[in-house]
Amino acid sequence: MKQSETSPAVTPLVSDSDDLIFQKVCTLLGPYNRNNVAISRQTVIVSDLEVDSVAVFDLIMEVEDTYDITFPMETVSEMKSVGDLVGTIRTLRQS
Amino acid sequence: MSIFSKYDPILERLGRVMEIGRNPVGMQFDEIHSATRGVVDGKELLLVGTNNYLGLTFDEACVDAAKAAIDEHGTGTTGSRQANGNYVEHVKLEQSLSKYLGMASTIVFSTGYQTNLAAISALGGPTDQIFIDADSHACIYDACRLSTSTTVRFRHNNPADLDKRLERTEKPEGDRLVVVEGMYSMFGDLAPLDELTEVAHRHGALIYVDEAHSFGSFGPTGRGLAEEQGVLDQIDFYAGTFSKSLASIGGFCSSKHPQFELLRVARPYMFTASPSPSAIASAQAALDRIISDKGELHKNLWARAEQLYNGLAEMGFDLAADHPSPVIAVKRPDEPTAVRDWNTLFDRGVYVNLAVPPATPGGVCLLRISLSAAHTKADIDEVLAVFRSVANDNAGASAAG
Repeated sequence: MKQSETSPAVTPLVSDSDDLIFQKVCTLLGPYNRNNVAISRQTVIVSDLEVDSVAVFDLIMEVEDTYDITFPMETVSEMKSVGDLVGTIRTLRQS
Repeated sequence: MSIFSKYDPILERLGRVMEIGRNPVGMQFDEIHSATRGVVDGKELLLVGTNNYLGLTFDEACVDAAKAAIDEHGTGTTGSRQANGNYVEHVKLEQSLSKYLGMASTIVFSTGYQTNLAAISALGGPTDQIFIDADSHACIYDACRLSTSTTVRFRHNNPADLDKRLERTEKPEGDRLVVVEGMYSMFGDLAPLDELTEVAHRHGALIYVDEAHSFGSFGPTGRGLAEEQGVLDQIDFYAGTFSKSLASIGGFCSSKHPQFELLRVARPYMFTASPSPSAIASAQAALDRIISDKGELHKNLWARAEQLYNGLAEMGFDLAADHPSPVIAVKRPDEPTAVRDWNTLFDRGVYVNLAVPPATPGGVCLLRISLSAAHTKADIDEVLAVFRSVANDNAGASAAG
């Protein structure tokens, strides 16, 4: 039976500031940033980082496990930039 | 700038592929001789990429049934079942599938894609949640977009991850639906349906299993992976297709819940033409063939799968699944290598599928093979010989630097 790898156990980050969320998102984006693009809040994830739709959903799973939140798929299509992602994480953690 | 400009990157990518050889997405078969042989540009190919798992496309009973349906009921229904009425073939096949699977209700759809699109989108309302396996087929993703439910993705074939996400996500006002497949089409890997069903039901969720690639080829009597793992009677919704083991076109969803009949209001069912009488008649004949089969189809399919899997593994090919199955995917290191190897296989008489991202999990490039009960041992020996020649070519090119 093939099993895909399980995400590593993480301690959910519950008290990060906006800047810390941004820094964490940059770290999570690392494996997807094949061209080593300098990441800012204005960076558009799909076009600037050349990330396909499946990889975006994989990234979101990492975000969910890091912050112990549920990130509905329909929310993903509204999120374009790294700043959007940071804002959505902040909102989901507060809800 | 035009409305088509957004497709420029795809066009450029296809251009790079065609610099290497043929167009893998524009193949034209001039003749189809059998379940395992077809002709392209005057050259006969051994087909190992057609999802024809039971090899019934030229089965005499299936062909005769399709011809008789045309003679008796014409070439098409020319409309939906609501508008134009039900044909006896539609109703009989739904009853046969319900009886075969032990389900209360079955609805037949016009394609496999539309089956999941219709059933999942209609099941999921605005106060419901849908949890889907990360490697789900595109039609499941599209169904979730068409539904009004909150959709959450969990890690592929991972019951613990599903458990975690069901636990983490606040319970909805409505219901929860977990959607998985049986055998996954790209890698040929198998869902742990027994464990996934236990997790789903423990959280009060219903479970929907798409057995498009495993219906007919798994289970002691062909009822799929759910039967093989002993949980068929626990599955809430069971989807399948007619375009693989049943060698026709169309799809179905069966349910243990009699209220499933209400889903005939689903838009992809209601606003499209119903399957043609011949397509349904041949699917019925193929189902009858599976029911009456004494295990020969199943036995030959799995013998060929094991023969090919073991042969490729012995040659050192990197195989996507860690076990034989009717789909065997050979990983290639990058897209140019996969395209070049696909062309070489073609030139040497073997037709497989070229599968590249984003259609593949994990961004891998694949030479995807699907086996058939109609393949002979000699056919698979031939496939292995050609793969060996590809491996030798690659080794030679690598050594030459």
